Amino acid sequence: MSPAIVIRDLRKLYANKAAVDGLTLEVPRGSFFGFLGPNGAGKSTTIRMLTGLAPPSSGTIEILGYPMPGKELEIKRRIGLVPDESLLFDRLTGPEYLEFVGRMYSLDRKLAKERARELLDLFELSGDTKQIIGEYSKGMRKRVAMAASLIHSPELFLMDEPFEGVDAVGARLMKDILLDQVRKGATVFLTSHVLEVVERLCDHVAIIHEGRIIRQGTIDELRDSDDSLEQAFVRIVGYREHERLDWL
Amino acid sequence: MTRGAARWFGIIPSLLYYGFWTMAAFGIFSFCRIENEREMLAPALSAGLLAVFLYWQIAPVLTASMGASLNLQKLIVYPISLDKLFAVEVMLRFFTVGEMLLVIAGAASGLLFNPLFGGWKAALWIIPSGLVFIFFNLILAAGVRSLVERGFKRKGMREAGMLAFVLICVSPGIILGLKIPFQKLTSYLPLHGLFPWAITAQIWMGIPTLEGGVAFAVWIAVAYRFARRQFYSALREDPFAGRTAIKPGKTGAFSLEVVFTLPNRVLPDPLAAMVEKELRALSRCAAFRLACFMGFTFGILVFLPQAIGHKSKSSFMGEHFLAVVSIYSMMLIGYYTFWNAFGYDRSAAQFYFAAPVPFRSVLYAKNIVAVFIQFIEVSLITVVYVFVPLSFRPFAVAEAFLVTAVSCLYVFAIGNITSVRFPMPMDPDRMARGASSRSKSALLMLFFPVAFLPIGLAYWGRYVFHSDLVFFAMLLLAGMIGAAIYWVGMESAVNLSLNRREEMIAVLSRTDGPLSIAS
Repeated sequence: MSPAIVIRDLRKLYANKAAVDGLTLEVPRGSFFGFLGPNGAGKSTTIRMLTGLAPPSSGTIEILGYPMPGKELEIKRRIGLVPDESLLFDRLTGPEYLEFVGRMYSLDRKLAKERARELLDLFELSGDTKQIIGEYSKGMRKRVAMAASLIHSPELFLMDEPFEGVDAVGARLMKDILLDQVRKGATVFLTSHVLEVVERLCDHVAIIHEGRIIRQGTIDELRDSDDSLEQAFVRIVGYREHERLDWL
Repeated sequence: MTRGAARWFGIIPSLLYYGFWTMAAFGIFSFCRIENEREMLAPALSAGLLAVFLYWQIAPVLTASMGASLNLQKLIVYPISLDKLFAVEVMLRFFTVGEMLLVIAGAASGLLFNPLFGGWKAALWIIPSGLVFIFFNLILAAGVRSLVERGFKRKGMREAGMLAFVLICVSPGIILGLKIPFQKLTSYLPLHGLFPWAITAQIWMGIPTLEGGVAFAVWIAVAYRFARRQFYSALREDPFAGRTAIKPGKTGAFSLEVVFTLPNRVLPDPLAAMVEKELRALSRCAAFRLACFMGFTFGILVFLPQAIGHKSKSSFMGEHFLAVVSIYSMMLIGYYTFWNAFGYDRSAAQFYFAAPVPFRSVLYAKNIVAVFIQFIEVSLITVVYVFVPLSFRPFAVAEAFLVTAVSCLYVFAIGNITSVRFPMPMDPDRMARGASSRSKSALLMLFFPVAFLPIGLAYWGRYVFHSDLVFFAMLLLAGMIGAAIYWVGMESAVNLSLNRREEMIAVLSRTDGPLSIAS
């Protein structure tokens, strides 16, 4: 079986500046893959290219055995997405949005409605079904985005900072659901700044810095002699002592 | 279009607008310079200043109803005193009605050139009193804006304000249509006594009175107190307090759910899902509802007096009232339904690129919704048409629907491209689009004549050959060509979407800055 994601020499240029610079990566099927990097390293740009939101300048992408671009619709049908920018339509209610997403992913209307209701229950969003998403809190928005990514039972999850702004209970729930999905054979590819979460969830990790992969492997391989993933991350990416300001 | 060209293009509407007011100011200057009868000039000046006063005070109603006003509330987190913010607000009232300054300057300089008032010596009382009148209007307008803005947070008030504004705007046309003599009209107006405009007119005529001066001082004090009070209340108000939460669902006895789910009966998924989503989302955008409301009322109010005023059979407006108002409504709501179809989706528009649907289907869904809404508009206009004192012709109803349908093909062909090429994020709660969209609005002014040219040719054919058959034959031909153009436009828009998806998403994801335009 082909890997979930195969990226070869991927490049993305913005005004001749490389946001992603020759990235090569392989994500095994059924893995919980953490994609780490400091701010501006190229994580979100990579995810945008994987989802077809941004065309690569050069290089090749293969997702679930299909080339991207070329078989975008086949790929999109099989992935669940939680991006950094909101995909949520603010003027719809939670149930309406989930039903809409389900139908966009070829679910029958009745089935989409049923799954929407079940997911809302699961994510504890069924309290006020008449509330529009525009009036949701940040955490609720993340929950509904997560629910939407699950509605069509995807084989691959692409998630950009999925736990950002989510309370501890919500984060725990989301983690449990994702772990459950991985146990059932799905692949999760996520970015997160919360390294404790990555350390606890992920079995594979890659670190991107200035558009290039600078280290990848299992959590144990990356930790090496360090006590925690955070320590290893800081060592790998490099930490510069900041200048002291007299007035600060 | 390059950024520089776009900037220059955006200046055109401003030039036209201020050009018009400069011409008006020059006309007023000429009148004030040559008029030598005090009996004529005094009420005219008072009426003119009353008009300036009304314009100045009504302008905030329009800007607030459209949401085009700077939100100073975002500045209260910074260490700036409320008095300074109030001063900023008053200054903003100065800049938002620059055209009234032109009018006042025209009148005042006309009087200075008029020998009846002693020449430049009159500047000693005309200029100071003019400045006091301007100051009074500024502070009162600041208070009115704050009051109106708070009121508009309540459900339905914004729509009511907009309707009031529309009625006021069209009232001169209606009054002219009714042919009421000027003298009779002025007898109904408060042009004398201790009103600010009447006092200013008196001073300008060189007949100041002590009681007038005292009254004006009282007016200013009251206006100042009112404005500060309203401004501080608006500034300290919780931005979410009093705002009616959007609760989708049943509206009275009629459930909109029937309308929303209608597409599921005739269209397959995912088209039906997208159409349903669009109908639901648009129905919850206050600004869009207001645009729809204006779409069918504004045209009727603007064109009906003209249609009724010319009862002769040969009157174009009398004969084509329904078609003209239908096309006009399309122009009013067009920015929201087809010129900038992704404006309300904002960052969520990227969903269409991430979901497993061809982008062509997304545009089809948007166009289906636009046609649906446009036909509701035409139906509402038709209902009004039945009751207005114009001879009802079923033929005119069919003509209006056909003309609208054919026009849709052309405007969608261009609109699908502009929606992808020139997307603009829009706030669902306000109609104002901000200065950055001015160049795009100017561009649309060019597109409309192009899009409506085939319809114009069909009417031209009818006029030249005096034949409805020719008209419908040309309309049919326009429809066939329109279908081809629509297809070409669709392909271009789809290709553009592939090449420009990143720019499109980036533009649509832009959010307000710290000092945004807001309601």
